[in-house]
Amino acid sequence: MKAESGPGSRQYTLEVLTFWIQGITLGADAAQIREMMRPDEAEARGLTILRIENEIAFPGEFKPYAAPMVILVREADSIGIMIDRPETIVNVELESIQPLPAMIEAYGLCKGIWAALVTNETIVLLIDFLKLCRARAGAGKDGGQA
Amino acid sequence: MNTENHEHKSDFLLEEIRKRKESKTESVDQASVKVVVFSLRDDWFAFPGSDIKEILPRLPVYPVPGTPDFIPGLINVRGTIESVITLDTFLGLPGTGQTEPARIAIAEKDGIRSGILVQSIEDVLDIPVTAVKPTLSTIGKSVQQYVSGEFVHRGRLVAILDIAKIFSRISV
Repeated sequence: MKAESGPGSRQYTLEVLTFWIQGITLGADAAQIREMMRPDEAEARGLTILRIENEIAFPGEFKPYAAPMVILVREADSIGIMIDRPETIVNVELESIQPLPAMIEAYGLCKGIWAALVTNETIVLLIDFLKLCRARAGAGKDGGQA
Repeated sequence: MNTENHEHKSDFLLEEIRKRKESKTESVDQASVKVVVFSLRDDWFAFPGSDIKEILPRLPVYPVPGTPDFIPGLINVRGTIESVITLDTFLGLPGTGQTEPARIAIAEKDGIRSGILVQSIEDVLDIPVTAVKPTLSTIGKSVQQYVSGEFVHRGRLVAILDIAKIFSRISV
């Protein structure tokens, strides 16, 4: 997150990488990303690949990845998160990020989805990669029980 | 008829009509409740009008992973993100009505706000409080716990739903 000082209140902006998982547009803080690589490269490096659809129940039938890439997350170096169709990085002002509605919050927060924003008339769900990795690592220590 | 304080009988009559109209309006306001009547599958339901902030046409719904079936996702209402719920799934309504929901009612109660998918809005009306009767036992138990009363409208039984109960159950 970047803070731009000025005469008024500080303007915080977030760089958000947008991508797809199972037809849903998600976004993640680009500052959490150390590196992005092809899946075969991630396998060659011996990374544990985390597939988001295995951690969170997505609606509908499984859709094969069209353009998979693996994200290496800062502070979680042994885990790579597989994403589909990384699209663009958008600069987002903090004010334009909206908390999840109360109905969704209880279900979303515990899964790493923490907020949403509207960009180009589309709703993007923001996911915390680090939280997802740590939840996965914790589940691993507990013998895979989430 | 005492018209001695009026030069013209018509003035007296007009004043009398206005008085009666005012008293009639007052009595209706004091003893009526506004409701929004809508259909879901084969049944008609109503929300208290004070809990409904807006009626929208069907908007694109953006799914949120990890949510139950009765929360299909989020909608973009002029830049504001709102949740949306499918009431028939939540209530476990039986029936053969398979019409796709065509309207979204934005409801707010006790600080919780959400869109609710309904098939169609049938009416918005004031009903006398005396017309609202206790819930009949013929309504299924899964629905009954969320019904605060019922009334008859256009020959059909309409169950008034308690939005606070529904919202508090879902958002726990």
